[in-house]
Amino acid sequence: MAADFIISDSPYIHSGKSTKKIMFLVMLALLPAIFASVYYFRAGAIYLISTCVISCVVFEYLIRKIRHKETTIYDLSAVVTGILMALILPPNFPLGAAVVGCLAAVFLGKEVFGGLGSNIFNPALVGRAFLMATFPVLTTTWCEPFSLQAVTTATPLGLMKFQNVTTDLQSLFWGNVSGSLGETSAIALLLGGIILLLYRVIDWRIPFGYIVTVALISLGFHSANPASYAGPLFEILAGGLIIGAFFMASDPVTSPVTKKGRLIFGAGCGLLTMIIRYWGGLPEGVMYSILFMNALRPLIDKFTRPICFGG
Amino acid sequence: MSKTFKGGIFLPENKHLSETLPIEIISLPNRVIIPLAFYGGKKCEPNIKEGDRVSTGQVLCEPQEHISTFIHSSISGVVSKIGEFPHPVLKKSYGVLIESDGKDLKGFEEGERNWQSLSGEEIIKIIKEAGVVGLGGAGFPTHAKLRIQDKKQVDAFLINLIECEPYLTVDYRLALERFDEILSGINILLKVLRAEKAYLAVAADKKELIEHLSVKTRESKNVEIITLKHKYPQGEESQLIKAALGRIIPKGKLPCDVGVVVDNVQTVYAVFEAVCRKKPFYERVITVTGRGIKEPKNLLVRIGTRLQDIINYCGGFQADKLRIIYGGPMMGVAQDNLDMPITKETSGIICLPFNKKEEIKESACLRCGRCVDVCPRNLLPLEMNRLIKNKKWDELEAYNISECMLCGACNYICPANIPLAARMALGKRALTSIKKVRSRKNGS
Repeated sequence: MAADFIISDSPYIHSGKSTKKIMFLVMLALLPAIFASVYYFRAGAIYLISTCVISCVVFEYLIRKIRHKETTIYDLSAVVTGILMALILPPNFPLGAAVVGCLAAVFLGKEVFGGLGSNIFNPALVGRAFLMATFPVLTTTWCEPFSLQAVTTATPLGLMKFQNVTTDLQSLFWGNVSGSLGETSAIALLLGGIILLLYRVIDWRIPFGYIVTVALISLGFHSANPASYAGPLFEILAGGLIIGAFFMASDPVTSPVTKKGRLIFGAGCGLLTMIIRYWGGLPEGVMYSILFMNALRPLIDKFTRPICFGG
Repeated sequence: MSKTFKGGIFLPENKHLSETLPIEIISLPNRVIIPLAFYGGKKCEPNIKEGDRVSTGQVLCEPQEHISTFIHSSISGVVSKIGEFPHPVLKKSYGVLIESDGKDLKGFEEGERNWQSLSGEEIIKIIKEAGVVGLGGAGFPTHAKLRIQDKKQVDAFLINLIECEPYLTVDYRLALERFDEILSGINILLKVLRAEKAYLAVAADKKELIEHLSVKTRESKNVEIITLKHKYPQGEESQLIKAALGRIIPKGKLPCDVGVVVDNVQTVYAVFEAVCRKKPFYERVITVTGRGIKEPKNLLVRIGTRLQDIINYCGGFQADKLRIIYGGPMMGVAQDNLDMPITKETSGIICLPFNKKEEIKESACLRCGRCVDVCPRNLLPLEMNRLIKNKKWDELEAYNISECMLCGACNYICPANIPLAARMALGKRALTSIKKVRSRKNGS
């Protein structure tokens, strides 16, 4: 009997894990937040999310084509970037501007470094930061849930910072507040976070380090001066902290690989977020804190290199 | 809870294919190819020539350096060729082809020997002359290992029954079927090592074996069973010592530096046979398994038996395209030559059907860190991979690549399916040769 013998290097078995599966799980984990956004912002959410997903995939396809590289759209990472991009934009954000943001996310955030895995910054956050600079008014114009009228309302963090008005925690928890499309509903994002942790898509250390640091800092300030500083629960539930901690800071490509490094990374994000929220010009600091810590990632990895077995 | 080490992976065992099958003796092969290479692959000169008649167990060549041992004929017959032959690990090796006369005439005096009256030195000599090597896969000459610890204080003798590679059931079957002999082997080695206690390290999920061993060792106060978590690579020496005895071998040191000697269970069995039955090492137990073979078996085979003979004995292949692996699926070597002989180090032949759809192409590293999480040596495989790809050898050394034992756990878990094990091997080889060149330059 003639048989074909295949020669290759060991090991000859594999876990079956793949980039695609990981991205698929991230998408699954984002589903509750997508549902919440559709619930609160109706058709607007669907338009924004589909625009961002389609443009990210198309841009990635075209850029790879121009660079004469094999297409990577099937690894689904562009889809994830698209969903995240949409979820961190104001619900009534013009679709044309969103496409520009997606181009920045895919091109400046990812492909310019050589594609997925080589990027230094989280692509969706690069896109968001780009839009902050190019459309400063549009990126800070919010609307109330259940209406896409661009009435200029403030987000809970904005209200806190500029008018010293707190929003009730229950609304923050369920998401019945103004804010970016997918960041408002804490419960939906936490559900997604649990999915990510259960399937071990992300390491608990980053969201843990992030959220605990925010809680500790706000607890300290709140106890010292309850009149001008909100309590830890408010700081955790308001704004983009939960989506940032579970879906952005924990992005494997742009976060440390060592366990200690991940804790430090999370804590650094928390510290910077609170510095910006308290003393910065903006009400929210999640985006810049993560981008800044992304830049520090190689340094953190370098200084937390584990000691080898027996060494 | 059973003890274990940090990191590692849980593998699908697939041992059910062969674990219930008693060890069978394969029919005598028509010809055998016996590699004439010492540990490390160095060619050795035989004391026979083409056309000579040899008998089973006859010495074919004698050790010519410290870390080498005797090599014996595994059948009786005529030496038909001395030259280059395929070798499962070295690819090609100097060797001898022996055509069987079908008689299997023994060239050694069979019989019982009482080991109690022998001195440690005499036992080591017997082990050396019998050509016993480490049968877990490494093939390090056993007598040399026993000598290394000569000047060190060894208090614990660890018998490795973990068999953490999937599919393989050699150690399991041997311990189930021949434990009385193994127990004698343990006592012999305890005497040589002047150690007080022997520990049997068994994976916790092998309930039947643990039960069997605890009955058999009830009378032996100097033998203790340690159950360890079923995890890969639990059977690797340093992880084993850490998990079983809580001792950590310092970087670059040997088990005997922490007072331990580890031997695979089949090695212990071979020592028993050499010492008590005066039998040279010319046959071993292997597992032939995988979904690509018709009848999986645990087989007692002569060293040098060709792959073709073994496959025929096991009913032939069950797939058109397959991988034939010598050793385990994690650290073994794929073969494509049916003339490939069984060597002393071969622990099994695994035939895995090849399915192109299941093969995942290498993609970009996501820096997800799963390789870091599973590395039993606390290394950073992803960083080493980057340095090896960019040929940054100097930096590579600082990442302790020398400590990597190529277990492949990182490779198994990697979602980008990066061939990390092969790359680490490449990096290790490159670094060794660079060091050689450097020391030569410094010397001149």
